[in-house]
Amino acid sequence: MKYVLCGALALLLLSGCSNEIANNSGKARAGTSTDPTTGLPLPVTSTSDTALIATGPRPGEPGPTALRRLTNDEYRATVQDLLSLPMAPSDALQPETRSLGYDNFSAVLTVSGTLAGQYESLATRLADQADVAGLAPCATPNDDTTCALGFIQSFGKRALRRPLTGAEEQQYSSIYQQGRTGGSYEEGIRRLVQTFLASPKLVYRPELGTPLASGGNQRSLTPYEVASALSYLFTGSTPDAELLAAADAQTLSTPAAVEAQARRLLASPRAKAVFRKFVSGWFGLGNVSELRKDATVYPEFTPELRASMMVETDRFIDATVWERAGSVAKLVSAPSTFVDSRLSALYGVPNPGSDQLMPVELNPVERVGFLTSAAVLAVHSKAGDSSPIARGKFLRTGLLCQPLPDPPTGVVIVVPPPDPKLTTRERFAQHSSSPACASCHALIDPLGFGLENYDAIGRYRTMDNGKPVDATGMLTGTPDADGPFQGGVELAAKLSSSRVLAECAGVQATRFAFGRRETDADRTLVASLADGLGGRNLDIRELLIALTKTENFFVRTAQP
Amino acid sequence: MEKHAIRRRSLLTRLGAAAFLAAPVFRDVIAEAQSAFPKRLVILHFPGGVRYVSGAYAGEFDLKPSDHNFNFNKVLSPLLSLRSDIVLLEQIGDVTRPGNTEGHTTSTLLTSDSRMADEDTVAVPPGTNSIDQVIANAIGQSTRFGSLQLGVHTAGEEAELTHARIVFANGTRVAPVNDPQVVFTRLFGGAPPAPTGTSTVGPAADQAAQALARLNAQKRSILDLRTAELQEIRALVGTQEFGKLDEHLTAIRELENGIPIAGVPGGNTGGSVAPSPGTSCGAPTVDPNTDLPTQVASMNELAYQALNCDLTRVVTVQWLSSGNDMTFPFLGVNRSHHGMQHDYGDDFDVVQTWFMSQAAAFIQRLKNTPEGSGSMLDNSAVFVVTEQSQSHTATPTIGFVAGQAGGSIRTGGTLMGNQSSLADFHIGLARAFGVNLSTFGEPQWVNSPLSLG
Repeated sequence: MKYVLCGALALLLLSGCSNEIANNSGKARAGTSTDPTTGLPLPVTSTSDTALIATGPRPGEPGPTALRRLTNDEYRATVQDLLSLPMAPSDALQPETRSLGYDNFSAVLTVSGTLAGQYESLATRLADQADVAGLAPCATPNDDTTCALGFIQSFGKRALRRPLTGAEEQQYSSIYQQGRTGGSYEEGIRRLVQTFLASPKLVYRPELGTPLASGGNQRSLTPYEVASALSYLFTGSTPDAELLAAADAQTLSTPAAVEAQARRLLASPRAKAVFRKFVSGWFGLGNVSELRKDATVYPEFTPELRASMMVETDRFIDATVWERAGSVAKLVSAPSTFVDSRLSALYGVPNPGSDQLMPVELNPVERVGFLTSAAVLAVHSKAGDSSPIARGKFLRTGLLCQPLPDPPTGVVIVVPPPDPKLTTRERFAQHSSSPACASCHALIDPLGFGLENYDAIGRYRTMDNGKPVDATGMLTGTPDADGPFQGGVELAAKLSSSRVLAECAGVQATRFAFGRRETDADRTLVASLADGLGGRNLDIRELLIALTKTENFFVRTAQP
Repeated sequence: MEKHAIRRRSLLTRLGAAAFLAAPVFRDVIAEAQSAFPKRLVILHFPGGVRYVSGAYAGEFDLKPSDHNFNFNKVLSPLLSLRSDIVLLEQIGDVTRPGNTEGHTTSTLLTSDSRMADEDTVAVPPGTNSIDQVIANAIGQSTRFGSLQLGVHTAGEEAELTHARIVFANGTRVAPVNDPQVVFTRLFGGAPPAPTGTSTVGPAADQAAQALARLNAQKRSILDLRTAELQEIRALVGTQEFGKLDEHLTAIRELENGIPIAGVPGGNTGGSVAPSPGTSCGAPTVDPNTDLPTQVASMNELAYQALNCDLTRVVTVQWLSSGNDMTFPFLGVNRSHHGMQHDYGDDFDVVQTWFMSQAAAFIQRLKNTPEGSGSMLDNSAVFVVTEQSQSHTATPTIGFVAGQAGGSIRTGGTLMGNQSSLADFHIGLARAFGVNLSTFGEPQWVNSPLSLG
């Protein structure tokens, strides 16, 4: 067996090295092609995903029909809005499986036995506590059946996000009768609330559409499906009365009408949480709450510090989206952030003397923008060291949106042991000497090494294991920003001035908006969107709005 | 498919005849006496492989029989007293992972499907089932839960899709539940106790019983409507969504099975035999502490009682995800598990030996539970396995089976593969449960199915 020293590459990297060998390995993977100008692998995601199911959309076609389960946050917000609760319910719900950082990927969101039970418990609890008089007032107590039917129609339409069919009205009426017979009007209403809140028709958001008159396998989303898509994209919750009314009136079929609604929803108080979710998913921060560090190396990394990192993240995203015009460039190049006492110590900036976040100017030599924030650096590190590989992989795939090819066959990882005499960079540099590993590491390491001035909790450092840090990096694969850089500040400057970041923002927006991996068609689309939206000066709010005006927002490719 | 004989068992030469004969019960006797008891399958996954090539822990799990001391005095030392109940896998590997480079991949382990190793594979081919689900589909139909998926700290790491999933049911990934309290509620807290024909009489008792019956009838109607709605949706969607809806339908059915039926002692347990009086079946107490030893112990106990109360017959338990950053201060080990997987030092041995002690505790619990003339362990198979061997290689598979699955598995030695794949093993495992598979996973990985008997 051939032992090749490959550093920690494959340990961190499932899609690893050279692309040529993968097809000999028995892996059923679509061919990987190479961009003629950059020499980098082109995205293979659409073909690799759909090759498996063999029936997916071809490039150039709109995305597939889907049955999207609400995320837990969407479900909680939906229930809160339906019942006009002061707070979203905090009952336990089984956590989502994340994919590419996001919690809303349709292919992996299912209802397990555990989650189904949790839905039932939550629905029962809220139904039992519901204010029936407020929710379903009945002016004609002698004709409670009429009152109940009215409630089924009105509450049901809000819960299922569309008018109920006659058959559904009957189904729900019989649920009412079971509570009413031998019980009361109130009990019947409670059983209805219980039934609606955990209905599969509420829990899943269909994007199935109706066949187009022109035939073929494309389907046009119904006005109610469009209303739901809009609402969950911009508010993370169920459509409001105005959206449902627009769907009723069939006025959601034009891009202009949809745009008007999108802009209205963007002003909703719920939009803030949506952009936090989008950007933190993009930067892989979904699991910061679970982040652990080696306490012997980083005793400073307490649950309190981790919590401070999380609130800084939210505040920074808020500032970018709402105070810095949604600027993607400023996301990575803003000269200031927000710190409390704990973070000020980590960042080496003046202590605000408060547990509350206060705005602060960053040391421009050491730090700039989101990329050099503690949370981002700490997440893309390991427990005990900075992991240039993990960071390089994140930069290549997350911020440049360039997939990495498959690992070579026949490589067995022999990991260099920790060496107190070497810097992290020196240890990890060794794998680049092996040709089998070098092809892939050339795409990863020169990026990750550029962030070596930050340790595994994001603290700035000039020394590593007693030796000076070398944070020289090299950016490759961009149309306009390739070249050497020195440290995170220069990298951020390069990225913020490159159109590659704007295009990647578009790819990420596609993932977030549609809850799936992008297709080749999506990539072409978002590249043109990014251009139309001013390229480097892209506003991510405008990006999401632009997506709602594309065919993808109205049409789906039917799945057999 | 079984084209040539497999040099399977070198039991007598390894242990000596005396050791074999010292095994507590003769297997044929077990098979005959205990056929009345259900067979159960437990799969325990622990992360990170073990050191076996060199150093103080060489010898156990070695590839070379000549080096095999088989003394259970290293990483397997906590299992020493269970040696005669265990069969170790040898020369069997997860060959689905090309190049041995995807060391952290857990998603091929029970599927034998190389496509599951791919991080890009968000969509799973419809109908994909891991081996536990194949077996559950056969033996899990008469219990309230077809199968259970439990986990300890499996969330929060990167690459969840490939590093923290082992179970695939009908084309969907099934996430393990990490919160013992949630598992407890699902198993024991869902329904109020059924009226069990106790002698409580009088109008108040009648009224309470009637109210309960009414409540349960309402619940059942609501769940019936859920089923109808799911089937309505199923008729509208493409086949790629079927797995999702079928999982949900199963979940609703399990909830319905949990609703007591008035007048039926023990309530509706989905047709299974209610535990006899005097058995140790009962709801365990769940310690709210979230430290690793407490969580592992809680999940062990929940898994045990789920089987003991015949709520299910198939359980998977995952201890951490593969590339996890857990530290182990309770063992004096403060380095992250993933960090230790890089250099396989003494600290790593300490941690992996601790995992084996937790496996031993679980297996011992089954062994201590009498069933007929033997124990629950005799009627169970506990497959303990990790996703990598040493240094992130996918072969050989480090694992063993404890228990004889009602006389279908021969323990007390090694199961020697012949360049065998895990698929060959899985087919043998399924056959031990009466599921006669001719192939499993991607067909190209099946060489010659192994017999565990």
